[in-house]
Amino acid sequence: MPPTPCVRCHEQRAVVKRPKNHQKLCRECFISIFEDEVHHTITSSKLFYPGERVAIGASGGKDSTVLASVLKTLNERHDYKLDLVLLSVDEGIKGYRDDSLETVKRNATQYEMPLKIVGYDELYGWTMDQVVETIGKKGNCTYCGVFRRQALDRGAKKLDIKHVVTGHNADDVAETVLMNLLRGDLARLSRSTNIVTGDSLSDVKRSKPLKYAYEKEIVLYAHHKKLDYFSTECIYSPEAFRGTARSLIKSLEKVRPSAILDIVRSGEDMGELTPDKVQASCACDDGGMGSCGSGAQKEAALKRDSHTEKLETEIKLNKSIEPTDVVKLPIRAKPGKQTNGTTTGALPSLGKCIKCGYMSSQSMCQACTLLETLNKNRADIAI
Amino acid sequence: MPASLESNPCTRCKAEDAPFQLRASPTCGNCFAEYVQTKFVKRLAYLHKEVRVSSHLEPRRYVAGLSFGPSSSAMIHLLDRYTHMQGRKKSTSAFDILAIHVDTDLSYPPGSRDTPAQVLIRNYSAKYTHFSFRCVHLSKVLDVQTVDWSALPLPRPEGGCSEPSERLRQMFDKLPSVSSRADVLRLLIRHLLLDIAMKDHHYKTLLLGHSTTSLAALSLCEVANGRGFAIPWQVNDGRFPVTIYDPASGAEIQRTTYPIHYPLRELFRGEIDTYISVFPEIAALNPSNTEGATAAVVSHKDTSIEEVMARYFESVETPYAGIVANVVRTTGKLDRANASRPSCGLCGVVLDERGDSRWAGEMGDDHNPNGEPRLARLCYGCKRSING
Repeated sequence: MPPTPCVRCHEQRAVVKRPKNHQKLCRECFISIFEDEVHHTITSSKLFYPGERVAIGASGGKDSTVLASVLKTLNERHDYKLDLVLLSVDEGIKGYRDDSLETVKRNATQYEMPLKIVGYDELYGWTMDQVVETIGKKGNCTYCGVFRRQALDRGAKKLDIKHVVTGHNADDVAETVLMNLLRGDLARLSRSTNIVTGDSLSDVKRSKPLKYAYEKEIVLYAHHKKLDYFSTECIYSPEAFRGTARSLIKSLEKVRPSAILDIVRSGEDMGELTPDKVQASCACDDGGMGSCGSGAQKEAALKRDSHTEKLETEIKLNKSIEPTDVVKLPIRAKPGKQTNGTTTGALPSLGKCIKCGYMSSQSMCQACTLLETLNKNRADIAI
Repeated sequence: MPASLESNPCTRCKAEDAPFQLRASPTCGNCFAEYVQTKFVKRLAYLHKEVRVSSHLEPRRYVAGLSFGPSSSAMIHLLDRYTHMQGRKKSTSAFDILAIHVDTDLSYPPGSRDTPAQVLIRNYSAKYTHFSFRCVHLSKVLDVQTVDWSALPLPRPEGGCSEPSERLRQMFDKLPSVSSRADVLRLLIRHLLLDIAMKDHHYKTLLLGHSTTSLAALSLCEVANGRGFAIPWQVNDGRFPVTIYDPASGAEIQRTTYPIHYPLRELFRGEIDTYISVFPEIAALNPSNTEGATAAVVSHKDTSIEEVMARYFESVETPYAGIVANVVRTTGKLDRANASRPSCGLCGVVLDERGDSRWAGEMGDDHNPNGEPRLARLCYGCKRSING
């Protein structure tokens, strides 16, 4: 059989079948179309302004490596005039993060970008390995997720940068849309598909330039550009429930490749339809993105509630999020304002954490609440 | 006693024989049926309150969709039991039910008798004697004016092919994938049922037999079809927007709404299956109705998004029943966009015009290069179904 020519340039031999629409392209055309699409996303949603300093949340994995590479290329090609910095978070997981950080360090020299690493140990006094030692493997993703989001913000603040870009791809966004529907989380649903999260109240805005890029295309791009990335799963177990959403996305993609993009579109449209479009949120969350968040707890709650008393009742906020052994701080009730998360239905309003000053919808931010539990246990062990 | 551990009595009536599980407690057949009946009757009462126009005892006239599947068969059975119960009371309004099956088998000419569907409908008719049953061929959908036919790839009658089933079949052949076909078919059946219900002015509401599980699957199916904007209309109880088009020009003539209700919306699929096992006569009406969505996947090419979703929810209903209800509740809370805007010619829901300009997911190269104007009348999801 003669080699199939590329459908775009009609000259080179097609080596890539685009996962997105099954177009057969040559290597050069694929790379250029992938970059053009990211450029389209950036320009159509006006992500950057000239001269902006932008931190790339870099884990050393495929998504953030591709993001760094594409942004560097586009910055030079289209003259964005961006000042790009790599920002990494060291969770302190031996055998996983120390290796991936080596990759990031190599990337920093390859892309000639300065690199900043913030560690959980210096920010919180705990590495993830110590956390897992204390609380066990179950539910540790909650800690890691909450800590990581704050760590990115704090790292950006240390660098005096107001914009962090992350490598979330279309698969991640689609998965989050489905997860938020399955959890019944309307507030997050309206936020999760926004390309920019964090609002005027927060100091650091976050965006996802690869929001419309398929995971498979990111892998192909990394492969054909011969990028240096680290591909190992985190050694601590991921959430089982998110796994079912992920496998659902994968089987939908097999049936109809456009499904991922269609879910993202649906998510954006449904965001427009949420009854109370309050954007205020606790910033330790970007719409339930990534394999983190209170997912593990929600999952436990879902299992427990599997025999819902009445299907028509309102979803109650999961009280188990607050550990029982935390001393409740007195909160002055303001008329017409929510005191804490116990009211059902209404979206939480944004305040500041009384301990660290980080933005939070509760009196104390999630990270401080979690830390308090951890520190309490540590004191016990010391005795 | 160890013996009692093996066969716990029914937690509700203490009957010894309690083979079923209701919310993790042993339950007897009678109590289970009563539970299902209560859930169903509550929704009927809500519906009655919503649609009645007079405080006098007027008969409740509803059109019920009947696919012969477990849920719609159970719905007819529940309606029948409820009618019997109500019949004894003089203080409630009587029921007048017209159950319609849409025969989607396009291989039979529309006039033919004794098709499998018609045999089944006679079975139903003989069993439920005080309800009316009708079997309608899908080709009748071509006479329906609530679809903007000019927006669909339907061959023109003057183009050598005038036979309705043949025209429909050609249209389905032109659709890009199995998912598209399943999606368009579902929408056309809904249009046909709505049309029959609306044309006969006696009938006040269209009842569809979706369970919580199938509503959840329908919600996520619409999400995956890119029709997120349509979900609040597609899965909520209430008035559904209907636009009537001029069949010749495709111009909009009139806009109205018609109530669609899902009286089984608070029952899981598993609960309906148990209900059917309590009443063997339901399954006896349609002996071939045993296949589930769990059949092994042979090829992803021949699977539709609808099937993937049905399979997913069938698998999560037992371990995570909470989420199935969550999906329906969450999507039910979404607003319905302003109905005065132009609507989609196929799914009938208001077009999200701003959405297309907001949407940055595609660079525009995937769109039809000829820029055929007819496609502007369809929403994002319907364009995907028609164009691929």
